[in-house]
Amino acid sequence: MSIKDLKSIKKEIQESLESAKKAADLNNIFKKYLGKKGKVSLILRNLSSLPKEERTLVAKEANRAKDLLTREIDDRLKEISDKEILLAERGEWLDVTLPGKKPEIGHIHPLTENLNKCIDIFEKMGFSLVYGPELEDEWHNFDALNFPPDHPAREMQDTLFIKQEKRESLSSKKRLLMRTHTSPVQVRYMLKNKPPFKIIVPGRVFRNEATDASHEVNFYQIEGLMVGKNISVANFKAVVEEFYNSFYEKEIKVRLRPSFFPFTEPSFEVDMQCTICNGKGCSVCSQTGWLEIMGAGMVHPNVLENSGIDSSKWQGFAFGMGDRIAMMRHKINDVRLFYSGDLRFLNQF
Amino acid sequence: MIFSYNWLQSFFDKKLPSPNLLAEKINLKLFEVEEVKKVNDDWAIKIDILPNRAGDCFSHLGVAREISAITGLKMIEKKSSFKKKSKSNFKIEIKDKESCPRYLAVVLRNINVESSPSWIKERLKVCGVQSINNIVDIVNYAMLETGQPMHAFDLDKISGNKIIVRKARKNETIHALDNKKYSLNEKTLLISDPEKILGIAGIKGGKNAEIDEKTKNIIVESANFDRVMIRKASNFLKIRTDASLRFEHGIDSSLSETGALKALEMISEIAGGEIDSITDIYSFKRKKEKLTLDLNYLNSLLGASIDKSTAKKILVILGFKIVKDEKDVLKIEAPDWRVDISCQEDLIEEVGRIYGYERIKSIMPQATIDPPQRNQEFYWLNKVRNFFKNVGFSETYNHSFINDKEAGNFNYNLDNLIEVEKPVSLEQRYLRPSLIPKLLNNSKENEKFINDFKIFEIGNVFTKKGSQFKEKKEVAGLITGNSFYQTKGTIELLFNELGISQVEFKSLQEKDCLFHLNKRAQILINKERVGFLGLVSRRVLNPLKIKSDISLFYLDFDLLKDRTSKDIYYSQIPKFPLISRDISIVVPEKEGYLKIENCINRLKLDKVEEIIFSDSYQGKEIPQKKKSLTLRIVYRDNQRTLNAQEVNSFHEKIIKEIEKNKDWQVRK
Repeated sequence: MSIKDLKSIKKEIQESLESAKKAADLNNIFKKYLGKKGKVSLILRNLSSLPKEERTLVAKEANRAKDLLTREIDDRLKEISDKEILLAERGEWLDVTLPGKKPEIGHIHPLTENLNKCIDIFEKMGFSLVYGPELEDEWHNFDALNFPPDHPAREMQDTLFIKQEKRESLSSKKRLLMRTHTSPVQVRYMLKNKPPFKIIVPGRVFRNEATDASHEVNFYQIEGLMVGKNISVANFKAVVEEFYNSFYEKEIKVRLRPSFFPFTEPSFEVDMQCTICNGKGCSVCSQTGWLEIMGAGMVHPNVLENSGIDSSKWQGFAFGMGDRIAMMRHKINDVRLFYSGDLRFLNQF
Repeated sequence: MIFSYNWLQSFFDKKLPSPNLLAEKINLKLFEVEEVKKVNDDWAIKIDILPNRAGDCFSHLGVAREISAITGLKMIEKKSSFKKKSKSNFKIEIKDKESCPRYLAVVLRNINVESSPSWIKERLKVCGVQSINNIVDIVNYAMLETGQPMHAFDLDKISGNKIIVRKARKNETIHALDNKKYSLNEKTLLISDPEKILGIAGIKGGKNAEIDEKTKNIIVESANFDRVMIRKASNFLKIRTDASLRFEHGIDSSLSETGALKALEMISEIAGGEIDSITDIYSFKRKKEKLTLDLNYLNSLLGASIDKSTAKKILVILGFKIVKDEKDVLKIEAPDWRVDISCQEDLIEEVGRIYGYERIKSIMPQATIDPPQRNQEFYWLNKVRNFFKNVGFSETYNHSFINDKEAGNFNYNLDNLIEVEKPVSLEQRYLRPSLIPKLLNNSKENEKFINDFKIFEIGNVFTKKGSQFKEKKEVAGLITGNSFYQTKGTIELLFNELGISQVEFKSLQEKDCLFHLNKRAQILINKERVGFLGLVSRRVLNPLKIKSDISLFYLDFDLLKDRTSKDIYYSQIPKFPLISRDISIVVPEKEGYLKIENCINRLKLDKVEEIIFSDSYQGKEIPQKKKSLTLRIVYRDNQRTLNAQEVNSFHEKIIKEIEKNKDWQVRK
């Protein structure tokens, strides 16, 4: 066996590869040269019988021929198989415009989603989440929050009082009602914790009023409270601005107007620039460019004192907002939809 | 309240900003302006007066004072006082001084009752007040200007030359000016003469001393009544008038004089006549305290740097007196009309709002590295909500109440329901003791439009036992159709997700009015009951007119929350193959599956890795009243590969154990 022979074998291989058409032809070629008794296999096996000087050269060439052949056959086999598959695929078809098969998935209530978004933003600003009872007593809901016993302010929010035996004779800590705001939770928290603190309180609140597109017997509020050494109106402004920017994911202008709540002094109504018209005036904001979105103020010293906190050392702000932020965000014009249980509404979220 | 722009203008020499501009300023620095509307040559400005400012701002004078502070425009100064003529043969007797701190009465003679001049009529019209005659109109006009409610009686219709202010007696009635009869209670204060009732104090006049076109001599009352008494009386009688509205919010007694002066000035100008006598019984004056204002605190609370002169200027223009001025501390006296001012923070609000909140720059509170506390309840609430969403449930929110019909349908014991006092709608008669009634209602409404659905809710529910009231959180959900096992599977998966183990589902023996008698179960964790599931009985669904079958569950969230675990520990992935064998057992049709599993488990074969239920069958080849249960038993050794003979011998043991029960036959 010489180099010359090898070269002619290589040529032979090349020629037979060129004429091979089917997978079987290729397999035969492989057998003929690289099978157990294949021509190239034999050369490699009998290298030792060659003179030393020829041996290295022949070995190199034979291995090269083996590599070439293996690679070539693999490539050609793949090519042939691909052609066959393509041919088969050509005969198959599906309608890509038919609707897909959707895995079954449920829906989270939009108010849950919105509250969670609020909570997330406030938690990032360091506010802790706190809950409180919906069935409250008059002391926490009114007295502690500086509502005088017979003041018309109690009429600002029509209250759902609970029927109790000899109610008149009970102390205000025993007289029950459905909380009219989440603020009693402030008092509950302050009685148990020492300042400084920042908390948010989301929850269901109740009003004894007829329902319409903007009033519900129950709705959700999210309440915030921050108490510290020098907490100010300026701090409050910064926190609400940050909140609205994050919530609506764009720059939102905010303004404060004077208001009155027994538990804050000074008190504010917080307006944000209408997100629909960007302040130009539209039907949603009654052409004013602004939307009333939150009640707030600096915690009244009486409330701090009622909650066991020294008002000469500590001060802070509190705020509360309702379902309106969610209505604004999703352009919902009737608050009753939230509580309708109508899946044609709920499954949109 | 509606304000006339022209009327407000009348307090100033200089021109006010245009109505819309003025409204905008009022909106930002005082009260919310609801509407500005042109009425003939005037504008009606509807302002939402905050309740604490009712004492001074239910009047054009009050709002004009504020406008002066907001715009810096000076008000025209008006000074007049009474020439006291107190000698009179007309007597006034106050029987209840607590309820009537001040009673100022002026007797006027020889007036002419006629129609009002047009300028009065126009202004009243803008403010939404009907014109009656000049005297009544003047009294109303003076109230709208000063905030002091007043009343005029026909002197000649009063008997005994005497007015008595007293509490009503039981069963007394009055024929009021609105032509209605009212029965009074003992808390109502009356204006009467020795013979008859003339009016309900501070609320409404009576027919007995009504001014008419023949009236010549009158008595004008400008009094101060206790706000709580007025409020209670007005609530009892269900009468709300311009007068009662002002009294019940509380007005200062000094206003009696201001109001009377205005009325008298107008009467002499328009209706003629002369003052006969003035009687002023001033029993109680409101105590006024001097307040301290610390400017450092003011700036610390506002987060601003307002200098002393600015703060003083604002307070002075609002009528406050600076009694003492020392360094950073001011001693301040509020004007009579500001009944709302009682603490330093009230003063800070005055300075803050007039200075302008828009001028206070936002400053982020100084950061402390103080991470918020994690709220476990919130964590698990979201975990549960997301679980239900992921398995195809939609979350609903329902009202926290049920009505009588629902209480009846679900057979709730009324003693355990918490009842609401005077709900606006009877839909809110009781607090919900469970989420189920409203969830079923959701189902009823939704089945009109959607065939199959799954819904859930998490919310607070309320019950009572005697005088013990209880509030807890419930998780409940339903699946339409005869889907007991789907519901059970959902709960099993939920418990998995929450890391809750030691779960049992047991049949229920006790009475219950919700579920199918035999298709219901209680859910226990560690032997403690945490909830129920089952197929809802048609006894419940039919009256509700729900067509579809429904399976539902409800769970005590508070109990679940305490039994969750967050950490999952990895167990090694098996290295050796499993071998499984199926076994079918014919058992009585009411035999519980769990009994068989327990029977196998009793053998404690450590190579049995898992027992999987695969099928329950009744029919061909199976005797009547029997069923065939098929189980797959999975064998595995974690140290080596099991061989078939070993497995067969375990399986034989199991078969033997099962067949010890004479009611059970293993099918071969």
